[in-house]
Amino acid sequence: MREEQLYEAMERHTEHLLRLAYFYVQSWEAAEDIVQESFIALYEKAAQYKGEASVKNYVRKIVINRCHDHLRKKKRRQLFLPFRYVKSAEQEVVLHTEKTTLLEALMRLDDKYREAIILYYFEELSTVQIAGLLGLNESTVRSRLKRARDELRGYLDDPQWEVFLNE
Amino acid sequence: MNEFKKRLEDQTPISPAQRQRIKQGVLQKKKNKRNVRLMPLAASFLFGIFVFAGSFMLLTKEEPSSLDTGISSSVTDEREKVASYLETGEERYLAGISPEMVLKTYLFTKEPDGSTAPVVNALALEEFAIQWPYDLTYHEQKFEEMLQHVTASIDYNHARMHIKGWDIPFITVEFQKVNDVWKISKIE
Repeated sequence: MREEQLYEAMERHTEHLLRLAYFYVQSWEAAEDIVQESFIALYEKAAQYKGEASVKNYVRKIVINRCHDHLRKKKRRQLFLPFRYVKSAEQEVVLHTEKTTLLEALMRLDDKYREAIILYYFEELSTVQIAGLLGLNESTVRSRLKRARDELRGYLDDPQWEVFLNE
Repeated sequence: MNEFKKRLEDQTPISPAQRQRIKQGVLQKKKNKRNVRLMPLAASFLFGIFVFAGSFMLLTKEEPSSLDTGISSSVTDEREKVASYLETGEERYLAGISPEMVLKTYLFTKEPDGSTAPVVNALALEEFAIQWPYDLTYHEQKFEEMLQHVTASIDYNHARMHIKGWDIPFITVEFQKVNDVWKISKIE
């Protein structure tokens, strides 16, 4: 890949990939790092890139893999933390009754359910494509999507929930 | 664009500063990686000079030199010092010595036949030192595969190592991390 192509890819895809990474890792700082590293990887692995997929798909795959790595490391670090923050029953009730924005609701989901929603609704991939991307059965993807939607339904008020009805 | 995507984008505005940071970060990292790629060339060049100088010194001096181990004398001295501390168990000298340093010490110590430890072991340890304390399972496995005489179990503030040294039949060293400083808590 020539430098101009890298710059063009950055120009076209930075915003979208930054959001994608943010939805995964829930930190703008970490998302910026991941996107930077992914563009570097795209540039360096240009020889492996066969052009079968678009640059966007290729770099998206890199971003998703790096987000998975980040989340794995984060979980491992949490194992060593002496104290873990646990929400009180009262806080849980508030969280489950208070209606929130779509973003806040999305961020409450477990990683794997959030991922299913992001890839299906934000990346606009089919369940077959998601299954291929993540190495899962399509039925698993469908089941995750259903659970994620059920959980989101509890967090969102009717106007917010309509975005799912319209799809 | 679907409504879901539109709403999420509205709720996550990206500032020009963020875009700029990413662009600059990519340029900087690309530059750094290019420099790293050039380092082996520079290292080879320096190694060549080092070998040449070493050969020249060996030809002109009859007495043995630390250069025949391929390690500079100051580094050798430092490692020998740590090795002797470990042998004598003088814990007061050992505060602040990291587990990596101890392992390196043993790997660079001469074997009974006078040869030095294989370079590949040293490289594995360099990698260990850089990545540490992450991916411990991987590195423990690497110890088993490549070193055989060292086993280690390490978490964030405690480490235990069984080292079969060349000068010492078998020792167990335990480390405790206190205020970000590694201290040897036990030697058996």
